[in-house]
Amino acid sequence: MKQDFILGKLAQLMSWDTDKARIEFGWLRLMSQMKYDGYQDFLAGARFVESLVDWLQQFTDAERVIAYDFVRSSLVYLSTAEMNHLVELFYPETVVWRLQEAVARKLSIPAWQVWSTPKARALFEQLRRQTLFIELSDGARIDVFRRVNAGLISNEQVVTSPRFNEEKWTDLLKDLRRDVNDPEARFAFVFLVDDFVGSGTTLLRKKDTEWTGKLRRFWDDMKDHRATYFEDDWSLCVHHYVATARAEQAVRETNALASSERGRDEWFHNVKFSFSAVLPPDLPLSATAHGPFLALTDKYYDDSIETRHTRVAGTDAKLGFGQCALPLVLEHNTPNNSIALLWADTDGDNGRHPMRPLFRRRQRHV
Amino acid sequence: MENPFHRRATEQLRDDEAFLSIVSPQPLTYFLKRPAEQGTLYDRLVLFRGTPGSGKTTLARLFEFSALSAVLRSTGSKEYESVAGALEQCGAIRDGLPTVVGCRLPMETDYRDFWEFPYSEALRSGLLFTFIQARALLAWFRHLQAAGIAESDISIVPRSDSASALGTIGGDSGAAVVQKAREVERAVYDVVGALVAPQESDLPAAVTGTYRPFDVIERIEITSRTLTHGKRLQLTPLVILDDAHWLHPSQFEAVRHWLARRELRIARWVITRFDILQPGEALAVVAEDRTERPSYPGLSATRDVESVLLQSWGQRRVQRTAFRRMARDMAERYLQKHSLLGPRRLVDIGSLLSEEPAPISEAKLNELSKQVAATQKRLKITDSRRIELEAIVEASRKGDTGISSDIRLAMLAILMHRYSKRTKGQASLFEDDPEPSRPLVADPGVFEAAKLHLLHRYERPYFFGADDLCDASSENAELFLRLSAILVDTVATQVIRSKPAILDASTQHRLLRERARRIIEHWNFPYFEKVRKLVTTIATKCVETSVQPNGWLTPNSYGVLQSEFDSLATSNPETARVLQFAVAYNAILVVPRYDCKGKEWCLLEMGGPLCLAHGLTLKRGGFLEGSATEIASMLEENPQ
Amino acid sequence: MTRVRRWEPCVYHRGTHADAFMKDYLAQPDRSILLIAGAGFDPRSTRVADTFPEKARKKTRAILIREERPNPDDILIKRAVKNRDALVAAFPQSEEHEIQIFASDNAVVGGRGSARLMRSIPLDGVTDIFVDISALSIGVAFPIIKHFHEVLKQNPQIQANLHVVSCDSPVIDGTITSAPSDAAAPIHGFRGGWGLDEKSKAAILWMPQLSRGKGVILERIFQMLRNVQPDTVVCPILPFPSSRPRRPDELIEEFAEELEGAWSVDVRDLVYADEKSPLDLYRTILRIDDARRRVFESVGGSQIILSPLGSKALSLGALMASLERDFTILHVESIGYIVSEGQTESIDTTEELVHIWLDGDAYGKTDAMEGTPK
Repeated sequence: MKQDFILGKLAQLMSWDTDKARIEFGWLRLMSQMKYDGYQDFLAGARFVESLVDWLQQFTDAERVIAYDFVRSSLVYLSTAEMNHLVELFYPETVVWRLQEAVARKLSIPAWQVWSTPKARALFEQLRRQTLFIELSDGARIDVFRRVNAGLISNEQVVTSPRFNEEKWTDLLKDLRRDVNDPEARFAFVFLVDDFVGSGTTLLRKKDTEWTGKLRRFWDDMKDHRATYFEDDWSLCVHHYVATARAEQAVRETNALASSERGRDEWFHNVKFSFSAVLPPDLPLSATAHGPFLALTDKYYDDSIETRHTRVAGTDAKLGFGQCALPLVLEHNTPNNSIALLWADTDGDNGRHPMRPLFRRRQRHV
Repeated sequence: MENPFHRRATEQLRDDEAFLSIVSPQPLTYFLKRPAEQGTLYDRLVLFRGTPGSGKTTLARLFEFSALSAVLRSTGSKEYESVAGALEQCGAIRDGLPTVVGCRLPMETDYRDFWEFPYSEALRSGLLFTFIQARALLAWFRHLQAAGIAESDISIVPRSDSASALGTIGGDSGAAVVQKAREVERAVYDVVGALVAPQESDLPAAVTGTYRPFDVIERIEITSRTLTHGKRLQLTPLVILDDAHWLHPSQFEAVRHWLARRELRIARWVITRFDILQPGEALAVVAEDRTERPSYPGLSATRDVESVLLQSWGQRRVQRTAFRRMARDMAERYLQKHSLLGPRRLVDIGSLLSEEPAPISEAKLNELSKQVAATQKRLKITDSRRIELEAIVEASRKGDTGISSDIRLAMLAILMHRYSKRTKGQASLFEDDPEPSRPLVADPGVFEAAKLHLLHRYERPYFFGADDLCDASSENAELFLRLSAILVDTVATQVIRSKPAILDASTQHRLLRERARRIIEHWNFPYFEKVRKLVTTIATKCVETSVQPNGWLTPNSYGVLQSEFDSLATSNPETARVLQFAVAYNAILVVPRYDCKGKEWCLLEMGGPLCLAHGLTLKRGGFLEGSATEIASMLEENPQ
Repeated sequence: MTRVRRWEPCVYHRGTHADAFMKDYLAQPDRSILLIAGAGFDPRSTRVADTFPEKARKKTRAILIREERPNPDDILIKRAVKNRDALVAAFPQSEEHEIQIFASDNAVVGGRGSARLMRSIPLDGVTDIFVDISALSIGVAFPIIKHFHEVLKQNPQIQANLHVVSCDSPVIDGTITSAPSDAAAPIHGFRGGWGLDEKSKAAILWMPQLSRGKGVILERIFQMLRNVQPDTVVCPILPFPSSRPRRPDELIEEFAEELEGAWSVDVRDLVYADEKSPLDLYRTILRIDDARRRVFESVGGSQIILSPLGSKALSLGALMASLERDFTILHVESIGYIVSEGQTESIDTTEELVHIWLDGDAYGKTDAMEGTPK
């Protein structure tokens, strides 16, 4: 097998004895096959084990052990199947419940009675049709979302650009009115969908005195069109497939702050956040649990990556954007909130360390 | 890199070709040739018993018609020739054509359930028999059809006295018989599957009726273009009830009586795991078996029933040799399929495992030699006597390629202690160098003890080489594969690392012990904690004895008087139950009726993994004398 | 969507929603409740009872089931007695019933016994049946639930609701080690045509739920499956999302030998199910079944075999799928339990209550949503 050759090289690089090599070969073969080789930015002939060898080469012998151990026991890699599963969870576990609550509220019945009468069911179905799903980035996998919810959610409810486009929106409204057979109908729910939220700042943050981020942009776009497209008590729901524990808390707090600062006329009235999966609070690398590896992130660093990625959050980018210190890799891209040593790829000009990525990050401009 | 050793032997059931490619014909010939020649294999009830992994399912599987016809299809292929030959010797193939159509019914699910019904025992048994018969018929037809024989080319030949009963099974045409069987199966299945069993009066007629195909059928007749070139061929239907130990003991008895009836014309085999019976009875079966008919071991024919015990065939030494052959054979077939080693023609397990001993280090040798000198001094042994003892050691291994210094020293130390013991009480006042009461010899026992001493004192590799690997597998193919897997993985790793494709003694020794410990750690079967407690206590005692300075005994077994053992089920049912599972899951091997010092013993031999993990000899026969009471107290004691 | 599913949508609650539902719902004055619960050593035995308002407890008829296994540990007996006493005190109208899980020859008979017991319980006047599976083994709980589900289906005149509640606690589960018995067998009432000749040509898909330390059990089930049906495809279920994001990886590593060896699992065969959502697993199984039915329709059909292990929440998903589509559930009953000292006395913080409303008012009078017939 071709993989055998590179494994031999790895054993040499790591100075493994036969026993250690046997155990690690087994693990590497298994995990490459089950997960890591699926990383979208790997090239033919240079998949996980090859990238690992390349990555480890930048360290000293002793450091390689630390770095390998990090991969072996701390790295969190979400595969395509796992990410897609989070998409599958979105409608039945989040959307249904939000709509169900709304039906119950409108009819003044307990939520569990929503499925018991044709009237309530009809209202549910109508509200579902009055729901829009807007992709915040291409990570939202809206194609997968469409496929798994075919028959429940029509293509006329899915918007692939977060920016307002009058022509498009007029069509959406027309389709809605035709479908529910009501010339006055407007949308009741908007779901903004994205794959991952690490610090929450991309979504909403205060820059100097100004609120900025994707939510702010959406507000600016829609502000003057609200009455046209949305019911008076419409809800904005923001859904992420994956969130850090920190972001889960942060987005709610920041939104509350924005709402109180900007006042009723300058912000959404009903904003709800939801997540298909929230990563545990102890996921970020910490000095106590990952000291030796953090020392590597410190030592092997090229600050040229800062200009491109991290200015917004202030400090350096060793621990990733927003100092999130995540050991996280998503199959389609490594978040920039993950530690830079995992993803950064630099030339090492001016005597800096040329950083080699384990999971090369593709730039996604926000 | 795929290592086929990680797959279990029985998992090669997936398709006939894969299955046949790993089957070794030896046990087949060994167990079945004789009864086949005597004509008892297909004309009466044959009862097989074996411990898990002893190959009983493999055996049954071979006689399923699909496997049989796969063998025939592939005549000319060398792989199958030996298997085909063995099947011919067992009378399942004659003149290149099958003589039997076999089907295997695993008794694991459904069947035991009948016993729970609120009906009379007769009705419960009746339902069970009905179900077995319907399923056997369906299975025979399924196998025939899988072999390419159309339903319309199959017909039933009734017993001459039962032609009138043909109607009760649907007639003689294939299609009708199958349809009837299917109806009956479904009807009984619905009864079994119902959450609450129906009232007796509500039972459908299909299940309580007169459906008795086993009493009606004599032969199954087929015409097959591929198999028989259009000629008619009569086959003896063979039903194999596999894993019949899942039945309730009363059900088992009922089935036994039912199938033992001589008027039946179909062949019928019942296969059970060793623990078929309640503990006492199960153990008794093994005990009885051992004494009978050394000429064709494992076989105890009564008039109506043949009994075959699958694991304990023949003299134990013969068994070992045969197992070694079979295991090496199997290993070769597996290695051929190994994605890394196969293409490199590294397919002989023996050549992958070095037989070269690994003596202890120079430093340790110095230490040992100082210790021996100290022993000599302490035991007041003269230098001339020492030279004499050294000569005895030397002489013992004449013709050998020579033994390493460490073993020589260890043997010498043993002889010194023996010498000292045998001169005790002799008036040392008068003599500096008395003669021992009995002459000293350095027999293989001393050699073995010396190796064990070095193992326990210096971790000198003790378990290595293909024979040790086979012996540590307790004649169990599955265990052999599990132990081999880690060795084969390691060889492959060495190959990847451009190192030689052979494991040295210390690597083998270490890996085998590691794997054995893991196997024991992962035990998880009924009473496994008690079993572990018991065997750990016994193994620890065995080690304590093995490391005695005079090396008088290197045990790996615990002996109980046979008489005491026989009454265990009644005198101490809890102990018997624990032992039953210990045996069923290969922790312990039972060696009954072992004659020693004028008494008859039953030995509880530690299974291979225990010998490996604790460092006990793989040589058989050494045992600690004990008692059933002592076993019971070992089970009661709290650890530490 | 290709098929109507019985429990899509489904009334179910988790965590604080479940606690709130129980409190509000049971406080309704017109509820007449039958509670089936385990009175065992499991600290979760009393967890659901705690959600019952005082008034509701007084009028609840509680059937407390004691699962009897051979040679129980003294510590376990003491704990069981304590829990039993607490339950008896909480429910004045309680009855205790013993279910022998094993017959004298070690055959598993608990499921049959529990179904028989349930049949003897009259449902007159009962508005709500709550089956609390927190402290019941699935070999007992599943037949009980199926019994009521079928009774309600076959007797529309009985106007009762069927609820299942469960307290899931990965920490508690982690402290309880079970010693598996010898036998792998379908749970009573969940044979699903297993072994029938008419199913012999069906393409078999086994979906074992991977769970830490359960390798031996799964190996036993798999061997039995392979003995009966050599052509078994294995699609293991991994918990994802999970409270520990690396858990699927850890399980993949733990089951490496099985995945790569005996089961020959391809990466595309891995199935993920939300650790906390029974409905997620339910939907996933049905989706796979839908796809396979189409594919194998003309070539002998498809048969799905489930083996729920580990989390109770996930096992409920398997139960619902089986109730709807008559899947086989293969199981190895525990012959006994070993509890690590100390930790089981207290309820941990990761526990979560799950409530599922299986049948009744929540779905309206007309059973329009009944799954399409086979």
